[in-house]
Amino acid sequence: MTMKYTNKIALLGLFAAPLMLNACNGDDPVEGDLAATETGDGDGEGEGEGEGEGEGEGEGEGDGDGDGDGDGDGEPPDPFVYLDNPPEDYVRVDRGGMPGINSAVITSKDAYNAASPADDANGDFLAEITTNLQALHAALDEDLIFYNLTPCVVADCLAQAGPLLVPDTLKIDYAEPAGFPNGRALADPAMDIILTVILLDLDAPGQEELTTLVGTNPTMNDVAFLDTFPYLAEPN
Amino acid sequence: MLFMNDGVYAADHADAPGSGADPAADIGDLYAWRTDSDTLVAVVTFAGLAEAGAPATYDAEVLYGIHIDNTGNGVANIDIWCRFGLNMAMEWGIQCLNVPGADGPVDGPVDTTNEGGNGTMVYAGPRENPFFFDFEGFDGTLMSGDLMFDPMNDTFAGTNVTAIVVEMDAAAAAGGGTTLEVWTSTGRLGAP
Repeated sequence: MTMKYTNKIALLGLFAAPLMLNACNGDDPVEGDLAATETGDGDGEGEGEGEGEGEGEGEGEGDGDGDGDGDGDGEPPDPFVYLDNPPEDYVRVDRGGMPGINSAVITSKDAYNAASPADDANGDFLAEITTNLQALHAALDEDLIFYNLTPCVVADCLAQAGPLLVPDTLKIDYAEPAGFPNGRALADPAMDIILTVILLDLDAPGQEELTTLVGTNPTMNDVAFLDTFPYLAEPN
Repeated sequence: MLFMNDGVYAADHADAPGSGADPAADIGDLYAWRTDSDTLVAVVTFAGLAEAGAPATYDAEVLYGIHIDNTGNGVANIDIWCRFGLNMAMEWGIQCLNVPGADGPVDGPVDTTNEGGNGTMVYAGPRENPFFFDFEGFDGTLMSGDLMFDPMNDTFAGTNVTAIVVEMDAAAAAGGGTTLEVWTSTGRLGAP
């Protein structure tokens, strides 16, 4: 879009603190090592049972015992070993469905990450979402009007964006045409649609479409997606 | 608005590589869409903004959840649980439990399409980051209070993520209905 440079630091203050918090969220990860060691010892015990532990015992000399399941190269089967702890054994680190919500309009990130869509729907985070939206509009409405756009009043923004953003899930209805916010395909310009819904008055003439702000950000990926599974492009 | 997890991690990463972050459990984006062949695809990306050529991020102690609520009460009716694991040759595999439509757990090597029956498939591996957004413009907008987005600037171009891609039976995912909600979660093994 455009660039004007004036200083309105209000927003920075509001958002910087959660930003930092989020950045320091995790445990310290030397994750390669950790992962490898833990997998090594933690797993021999519980996991092998169902999946061919019997063959594994053969240790490569198994040709003679005639169990007949080998691949003919004289090497034992080498199954992947996965932890089988119940979900309760894991400490929640992150969660989300809608792009940007978790880190954007949420201030109490640890509580949010530990919560559930049912908590969202219960209104647990509505107050902070409202506060952050108010700050956003206080800072940006002037600019939106400058570009001949009509900002929504925060109460109306909440009313129109609420069903989309709360709870923090992707909503899908097979009976309706696909395309964000009905699901999210790789190529959908989801971010600009969210910007539209939280910033603009969808009842104002000329901006009834959720796509009004599409083009504020890049509208497509830098490389093409695949038509077939796994759909994402090869790594750079 | 719009701090992406990716972007936040990016800023953090640029300032102090590796400090304090948990890339394997740091969700970038969730995608979920119905295909023309009556399947539903869910994509979870993590370990975002990896440089070109960087290895994928696999961690056996992270549990990835893809949750589906098909009754509209905010509580999952289906929890797809995915984990990474090693074999004796120290090669990584991916396993996903409870994939709607699958014959059972779907597992196999990373970087491979692993089939689970009835058209279900699971893939995990390094991919191009599918997210496109001007994060610098977003950041600048918040800093200055002025709109500073640049549609020509895709902050995520040229970067990679690690992705889990699950293709499942669309009808089974929706529990026979036509509406569903999908979200994702990560958890790390152990006490807080």
